[in-house]
Amino acid sequence: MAATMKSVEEIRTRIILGEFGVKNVHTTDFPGNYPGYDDTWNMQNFQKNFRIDVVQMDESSMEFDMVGIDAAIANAFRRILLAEVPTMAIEKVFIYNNTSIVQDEVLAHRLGLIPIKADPRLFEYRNTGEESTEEEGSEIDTIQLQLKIKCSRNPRASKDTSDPRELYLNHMVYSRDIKWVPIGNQADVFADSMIAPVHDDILIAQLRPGQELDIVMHCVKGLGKDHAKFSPVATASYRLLPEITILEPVEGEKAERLKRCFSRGVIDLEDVNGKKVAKVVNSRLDTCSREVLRHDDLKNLVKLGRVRDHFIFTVESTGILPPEILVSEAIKVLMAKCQRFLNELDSTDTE
Amino acid sequence: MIIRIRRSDSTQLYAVVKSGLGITKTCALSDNAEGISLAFKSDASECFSMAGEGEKKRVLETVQADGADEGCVTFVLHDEDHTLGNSLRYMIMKNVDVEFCGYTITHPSESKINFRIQTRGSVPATEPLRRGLNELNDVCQHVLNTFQARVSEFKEEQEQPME
Repeated sequence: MAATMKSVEEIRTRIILGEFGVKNVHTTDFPGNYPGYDDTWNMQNFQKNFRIDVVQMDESSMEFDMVGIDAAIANAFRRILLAEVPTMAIEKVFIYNNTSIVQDEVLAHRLGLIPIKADPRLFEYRNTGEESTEEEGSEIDTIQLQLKIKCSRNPRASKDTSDPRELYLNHMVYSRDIKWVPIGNQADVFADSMIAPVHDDILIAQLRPGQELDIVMHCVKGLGKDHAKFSPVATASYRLLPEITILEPVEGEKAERLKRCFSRGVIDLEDVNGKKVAKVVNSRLDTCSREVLRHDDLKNLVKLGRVRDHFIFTVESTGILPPEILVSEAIKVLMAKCQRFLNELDSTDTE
Repeated sequence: MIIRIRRSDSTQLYAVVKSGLGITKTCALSDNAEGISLAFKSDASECFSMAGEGEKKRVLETVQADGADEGCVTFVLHDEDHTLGNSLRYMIMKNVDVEFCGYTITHPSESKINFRIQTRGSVPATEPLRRGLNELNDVCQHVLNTFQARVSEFKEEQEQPME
């Protein structure tokens, strides 16, 4: 009986990486599935078991552990980070002059993908489809940018040089050449946070003497599910915490070999009565390689698994907003989705 | 219903639409040409309603089979996908009153999901839906509070490094 209890517990809490497939992938802890377990939702238990540990954090990326939550909800946060946290991006490009070799539509696409440092929370969505389609944007929903640059010969270039950097002026157009043109009261409102591209060294086009660009751009607020240029993250992903269990003592040469099957730092050799015994010290570092399964004498001595409710999140921002703000915003987006349908249920009830 | 499609001087595409009532309407379209016909099939009615009385877009609809009781309902959640669908399904399946809960995405180019709930006893299906949404909201609130608390703790620790 104790043995079956143990295996049920394993099915519920671990994912097993076997030689011929991955076992126990799906969440099964629903009411009625396991006799003797109360699997109904319990907020107190959730609050008791849930925890977050920040592992690393800087201006552009962070890693944190989210423990004690189901994959369905953790995955919702990941999906929202990728596709439903709004940002500002160039949406309309008015090309007054483009004599460079980059075609208008290619140039417009390149410009659209440049991350623009502007807090999207301070802007409204621009209404599309309504009467305002042809209308100009206003100060609450649009940022205007300008790119006006012309390439010319460098009069001070030495005669025998063939280096374009010396021969020409302005022949490389970088994102730093994009200038912000405030609309209405924007100059006062955003005085302390200059609106500009996040990175100033993104190459947009290369020019030759006489070629010029004269472009006005409109940035609007949008979502990553509409176009990837609106996505606020470079990557947002999670992995489950790996768990390696050594089933019986592994000694000597076998232990050395077992150590080499895993990533560095996962398994250490301990000295027990003059023998080297393998011991798992940090399974988090493992990449879940299947190397150990190629050794017939080792593969039955270890069990490879992953902890079902331990998510190691990695969030890399594009630099528009810091990663901790992005995660908070993502959680708020999911709450807003719930609220939207709760309001709808309430309004249909009163009708 | 599409009368003509023209490319304006900017990169946006516009389509001029004429409804049966003789209302002419210009709609901005996505920037890829293949999107036009597809976008129009599904969004045509939307465009017309926007042109008209400013009618509100549907958020939630309920579909019931003939003769079925109110415990077996398919909810149509507009503008939603796996993000809300799967997390809400998880919360609702945790409810003992629910016999079955599942969802489908009807078609990749339609942004709606069919969300099915069947209850035990004679509990109306809106009850577990409402409860699921509330519980999911509370879970998010707790996650948000925990996250913000831990982030500020981490920042404080970084500011005063260990001696």
